[in-house]
Amino acid sequence: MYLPDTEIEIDALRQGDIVTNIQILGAINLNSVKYTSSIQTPDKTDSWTVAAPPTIGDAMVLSHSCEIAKENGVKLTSIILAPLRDVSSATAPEKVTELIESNIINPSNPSATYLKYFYIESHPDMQYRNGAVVDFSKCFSLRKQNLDYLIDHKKAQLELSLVNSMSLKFALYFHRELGAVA
Amino acid sequence: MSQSIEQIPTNNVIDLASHRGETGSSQSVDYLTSIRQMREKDNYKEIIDAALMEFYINNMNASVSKDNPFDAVYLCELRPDIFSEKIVAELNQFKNIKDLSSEIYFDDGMDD
Repeated sequence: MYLPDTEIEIDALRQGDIVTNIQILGAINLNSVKYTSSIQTPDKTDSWTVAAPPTIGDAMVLSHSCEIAKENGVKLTSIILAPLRDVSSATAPEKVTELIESNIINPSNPSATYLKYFYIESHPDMQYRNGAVVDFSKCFSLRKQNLDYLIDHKKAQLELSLVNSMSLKFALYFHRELGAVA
Repeated sequence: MSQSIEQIPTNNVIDLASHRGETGSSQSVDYLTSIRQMREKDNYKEIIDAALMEFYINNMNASVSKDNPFDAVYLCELRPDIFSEKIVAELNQFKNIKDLSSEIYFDDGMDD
């Protein structure tokens, strides 16, 4: 699933890369956001804060590699990521087995799968003993000025075939017929 | 995440002339003379550090305020992406796939 250390592109950020120990910003509760405004500009919000400690965790890069490549001038202004979640925290272990078995969508038998989650195996440099899932429902973006920061926090790089499987699942998570409600 | 001082663009010159000593002439005092005069001061290092930090902070703040990802300029630079019908066909062959996501829950503090 992962590229060996000798093949990891340590100076580049690619789709599918795992970054660790970064602030997770997905699924912000607007009710917890406090807005402030200076007296001089009562009708304009100057800043906002969330009165809660930052959530520090791991995430996967979802942006297409060509869009965030330094050699292409980092065409996007933002880098899209999604947080990882420990499968050990799943309340039904049997569902985890089914999730893993259906992780890669089989073109010859596209029956059912957990579209919201993409499973990744355990990695010696990460905390997930039984692996983790990427949660597409909580994706967030960081400004491209944080590109080097993310590269510094890059822990693993997926094999290209797995990157394609992940991006297909990500696309299908959003692209389904309206009538097919689970 | 923060930009180190080493990453500040070297083509921007820090104006040390503003810290010229009072004894310096107003006429064509070269920078070497300015530096020699500054080194005679006890707080030479502090003057240099202050100038560097001021430049660093102003440069960092300028980049944040001028780079708005929602600015209309970026919208004008957009160009349509080119993709093949094969990709559309590949997605459409899965359009009736069943999503089981709601059948699994993670007790990790994040909502499902």
